[in-house]
Amino acid sequence: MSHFRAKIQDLGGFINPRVVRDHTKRKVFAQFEPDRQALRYVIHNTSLPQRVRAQAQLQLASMHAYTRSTQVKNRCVAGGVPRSVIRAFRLGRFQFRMQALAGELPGVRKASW
Amino acid sequence: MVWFMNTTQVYIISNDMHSHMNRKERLDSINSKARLPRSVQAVYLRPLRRKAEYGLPVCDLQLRSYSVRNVEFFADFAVRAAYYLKLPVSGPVPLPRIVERWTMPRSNFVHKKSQENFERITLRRLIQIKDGNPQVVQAWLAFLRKHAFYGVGMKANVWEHEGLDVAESMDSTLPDVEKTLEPYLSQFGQREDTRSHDSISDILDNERFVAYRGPLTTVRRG
Repeated sequence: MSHFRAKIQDLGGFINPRVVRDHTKRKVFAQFEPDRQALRYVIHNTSLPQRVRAQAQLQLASMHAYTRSTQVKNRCVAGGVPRSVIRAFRLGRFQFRMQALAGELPGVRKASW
Repeated sequence: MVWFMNTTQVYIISNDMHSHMNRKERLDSINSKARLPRSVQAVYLRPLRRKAEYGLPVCDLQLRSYSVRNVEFFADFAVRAAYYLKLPVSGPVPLPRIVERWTMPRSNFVHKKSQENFERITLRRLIQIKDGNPQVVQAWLAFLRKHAFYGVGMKANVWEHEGLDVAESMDSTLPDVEKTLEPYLSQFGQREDTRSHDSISDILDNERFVAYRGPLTTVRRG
């Protein structure tokens, strides 16, 4: 959401709107994680009155979607592609192949066995 | 060498060597007559080693690289450095290689049948230092870090050994430890300005939890 987005982006690599959005989600998630954990603690604490726990449950459910960890998705740093991103290099499959063939990834070479 | 072919020159050289030889010739004659210094000669031979007296492991150094040459060279360097620091060494032990493989379609998803394999093989060497002085071991590790070789990663596990009267020595060092911890412990605790006596329902009503709500989560009244 636009009110979460920083005016100046601290981003490197390939940038498009979806990359910026994912970056914003990561930052918002990090910012609100203590609040989420506090609410979760209240919800799971059986010694608290039921009313308070129910209220905390509602508040946790009504928090913004960007504060959820499940909204974060790994994207290719060279192409912004969200699918088939190799964790070790943070690259999508095609970018990985191009860079590996160009010898830009240390130690990666064509395998045959 | 060239000047042996010329008989007159040979005669001159045998008469008075130093006056008529130029610099290059003199250097060549040194090369044929004198041996290299021992420390330089040792580079061409297998690395020297100290003998471990007790065999108590003190430090495990693991070297990793994608290239055999680099990791072999640096392992050799590390063993030689340990010798000159008088540290007994065992190794380098070749540890199992780490093979990572990726299979990628060469082109779009339609052409899934044509794929390409890539791999990255990490080579590892283990160098173990036995019964060395902890400070000397640290000096050795610092030396290796200073002369770190390109494309070779290092990881060290260092063990320190204590006498049987550990508890006594820990008790004796306690006042010093407490003194060093004092600036940190003095800041431990709850901040004065954040202390509130609100009930938990007040805290939940706090604007901090209300400010960033998702869209369409407020109930419309009336």
